[in-house]
Amino acid sequence: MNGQPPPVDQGLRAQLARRSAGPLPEGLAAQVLQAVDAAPVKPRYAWWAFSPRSGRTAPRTLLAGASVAAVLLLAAALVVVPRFQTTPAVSGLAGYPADRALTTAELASLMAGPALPTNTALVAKVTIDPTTDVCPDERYKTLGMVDGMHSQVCVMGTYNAFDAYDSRTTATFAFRYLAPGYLGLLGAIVSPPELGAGSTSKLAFRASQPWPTDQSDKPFLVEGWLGSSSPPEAVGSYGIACTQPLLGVGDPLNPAGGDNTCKTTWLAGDPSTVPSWEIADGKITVAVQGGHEVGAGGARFYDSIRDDSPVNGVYVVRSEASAVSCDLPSCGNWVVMAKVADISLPQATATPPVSLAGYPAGRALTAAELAALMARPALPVDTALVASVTIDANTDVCPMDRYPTIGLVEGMGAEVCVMGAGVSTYLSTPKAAGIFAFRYLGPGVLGLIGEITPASSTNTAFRVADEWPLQGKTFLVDGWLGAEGLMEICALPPTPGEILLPNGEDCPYDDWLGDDATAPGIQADHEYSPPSPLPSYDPLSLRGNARHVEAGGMRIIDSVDHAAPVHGVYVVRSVTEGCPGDSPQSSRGCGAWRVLAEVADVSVPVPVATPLEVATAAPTIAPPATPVVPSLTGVIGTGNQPLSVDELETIMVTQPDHLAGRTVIVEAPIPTQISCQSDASGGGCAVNTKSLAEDGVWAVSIGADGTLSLVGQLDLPQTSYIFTLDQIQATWTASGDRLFLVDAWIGGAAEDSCDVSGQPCYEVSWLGATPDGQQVNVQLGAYHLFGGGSVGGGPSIHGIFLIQTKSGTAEVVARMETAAP
Amino acid sequence: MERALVERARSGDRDAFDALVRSRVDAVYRTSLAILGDSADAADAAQETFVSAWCHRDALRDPDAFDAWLSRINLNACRAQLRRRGRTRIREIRLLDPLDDREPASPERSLADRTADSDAFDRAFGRLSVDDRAVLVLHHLQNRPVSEIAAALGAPQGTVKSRLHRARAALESALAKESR
Repeated sequence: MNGQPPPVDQGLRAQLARRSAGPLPEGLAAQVLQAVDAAPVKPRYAWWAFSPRSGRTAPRTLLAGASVAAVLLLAAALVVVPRFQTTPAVSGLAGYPADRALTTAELASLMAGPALPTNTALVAKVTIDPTTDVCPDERYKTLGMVDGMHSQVCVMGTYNAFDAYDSRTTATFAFRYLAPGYLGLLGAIVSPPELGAGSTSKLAFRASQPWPTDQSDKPFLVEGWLGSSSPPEAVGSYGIACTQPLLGVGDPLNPAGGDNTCKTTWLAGDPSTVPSWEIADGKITVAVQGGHEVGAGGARFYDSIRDDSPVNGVYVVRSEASAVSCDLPSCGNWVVMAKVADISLPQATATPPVSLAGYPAGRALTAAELAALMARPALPVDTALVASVTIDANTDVCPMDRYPTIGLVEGMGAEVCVMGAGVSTYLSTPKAAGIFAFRYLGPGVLGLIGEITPASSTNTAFRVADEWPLQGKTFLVDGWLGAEGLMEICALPPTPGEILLPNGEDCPYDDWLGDDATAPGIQADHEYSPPSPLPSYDPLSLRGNARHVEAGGMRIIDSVDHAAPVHGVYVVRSVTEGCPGDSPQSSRGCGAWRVLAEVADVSVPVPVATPLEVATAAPTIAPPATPVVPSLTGVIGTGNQPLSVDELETIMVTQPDHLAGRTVIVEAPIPTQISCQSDASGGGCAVNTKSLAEDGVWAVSIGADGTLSLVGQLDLPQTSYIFTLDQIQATWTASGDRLFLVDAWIGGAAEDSCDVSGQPCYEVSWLGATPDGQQVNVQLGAYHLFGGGSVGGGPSIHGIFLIQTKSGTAEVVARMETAAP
Repeated sequence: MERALVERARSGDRDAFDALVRSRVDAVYRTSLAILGDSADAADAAQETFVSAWCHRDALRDPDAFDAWLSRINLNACRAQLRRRGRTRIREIRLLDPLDDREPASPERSLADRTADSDAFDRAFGRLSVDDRAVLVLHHLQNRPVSEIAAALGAPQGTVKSRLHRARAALESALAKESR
């Protein structure tokens, strides 16, 4: 984003000062110096020289040969190793409430199928292993992995981590499905037999049975009717007076379930239950015949349980200590956490055969190949892939928020989310087709490295001697990666897979990429000794058969050793950024080639023809359907004048779509319909002159059949049709609903409060009078939708925008373009 | 003077390096403490920073960029410290009663209001990535210019600006979650 950094926030500064206050630990300086004394002595080479040069050259050749052999062995191994495991046979309908928990095999089958609706509640008897954690999602705490899944299934402690395990634990657990490969843990189920008296052979309590009262937060299941009743007038307001929900769609998942308690909610064996209220000594007592009073606001919200009539089901309930001091031992609450979904399991499927393909076989993976790859057992985290696919930023149900969500890959069997993954890269359009480089983050999740600029129409990868693309382009290079020196800057290199920084900004020590395993041109750059002056050369230029590159971060993530040059296909980006030590006034910049990843040599399973069918009756918040995107560009006349009806007719007949779906600015009278047809001679329009509006300038929406509908009458400035932003602000009232055109810059920046269930991860957006000005906030995502900028934000973009204000909020309706009649 | 000290340290002069440690250990520790929020972790990170700087002193090319270089190593040390801390096992129990009549979280509530609660602030700050924490500390606490932050993070200045906005938004979001 352009512009100034935010001003120093004094409140934030005070808190940070508090965090860093206090005396220096006694003797810290001495301890540090002692530790420096004890530090291992490493061989020291001056950064500008290979030393000892003769000793490096010979083994490098040998090691290069060994490396080639290793690559060949690895490739051979890949031919035979990755096989699909047979999906376990699952017959017909099963799952809760069939009086039992899902088995490991059933859960595995379910998790291998197409994505379930986010928040679907499941009960399964499985083993959680906390010792294996490769889950890159850190929105919730990672608790472990589920044993026996065909691909990695991570268990996350959602908003409240009620359980954490130090060792492998087998139990019946209640989960909420978060995303492919991710379950949120509600807790281990306390089953009735463990509770002694009143237990049944079923997993769920009956509503009329005594429930656990130990206030331990441990969940249990109850089968019954969930209903709610308003208290009588004499009782008055009982519970929280909910004038508005405490949770909104997209708010963080709080499976504790206590939110949104508006009425008296009960869980009972009889749907016609009516609670009785008593007021004695200033205390309100509620009695529920054949059941109990519960709090269920959160569950109602996440499971879409209406409160106008009782709903039968199996509910996850927990006992919770009361926040109010109470001298009675039974003082506490029962809280409904979730309604267990009625799940149909996928049918058994045959083992798909495996064939060899993938990079570096000279081409990008196809969408079908990528889909097959993403459907198989989990790949190693950070595996770099190159695929020719379409990414749709308009459909986002990805619940992960470690990285900004960019969009979904089209044509996958199950949902495959594309995340920003620490690289400043965004789509050029909301829906972008092209060749992309990714890092595999987890099942259903890819991190976008960048869109690949191909070398030619026939070759995706460049050779080192080719002219490489500049200006921040990302591209592939087929070559040898070698080290210039043994220089490390990392205090402790991150473990591969733990911290993903594929931008290569970590440890940017020097390397080279060459067309051969040796790089005499690079060596020649260093053939001098102090105190002679440093040689100067263009760091972007070809040095014989090689180029200087920065590959430190990539070496860490892809475990590429410095010992010898390694042949491969590398993802490279041209970067220009401030030089270390530059003065703030310096705009010279330092250019470099940065290696972001080594493309993995993957075997690809044969694509599965038809994705598995999963029927689910889970009444959860369904992922949004792919929205029908209206045209975001409106039309205005030349000189920013409204169109006359004649001009509009002329434009409509010349446009292939006759402006269907567009918003146009028209001066009244506004006809009802303009039906146009085009032909070789130009065509013509039939106009229904029945008037929608007689006066004023209007924003008008044009339907598919040429039907006109009024969006609204424009508020106009005194001397023109376009407001400046200053004029708008001068006349701004929070209650004034207006529709107007404004000449402004639209800006956007990534925001964090996204990626919660079902909420697209769009950038916060604003309009400014200047590129750096932030004056009026508009709706999320407006920047990329109407400015044409990247999802997640970027430089401000100038334009004329149609704005609608309602109740103090401003919304961009369209960005206008001028039509030449 | 300072440059000469750095050059001597780079060439292996322990006395010079010791002098650099003594003059900077407080700043490095406090930066670590602000990021990590734990004095023992911060002391470890500070120690690791200087040990690494000594071991890899050859990697310092420009003596004038010593502080930026040291900051960068320090951030890596903080990152490593958090990784080493491993999976945090926190048992959070949120008590909620039907009679609880607190106000719902309001998006209009200012950051200043939200930052008033130190415990909530620390929990919210702990939700941020190290990079987000670092950029907030370097800018809002230490008031360093963007060019210095860029050098410390090894990122372009434009990236630093956007990270500042993003980190602040992330903090606000985390504070909002804490205030619910």
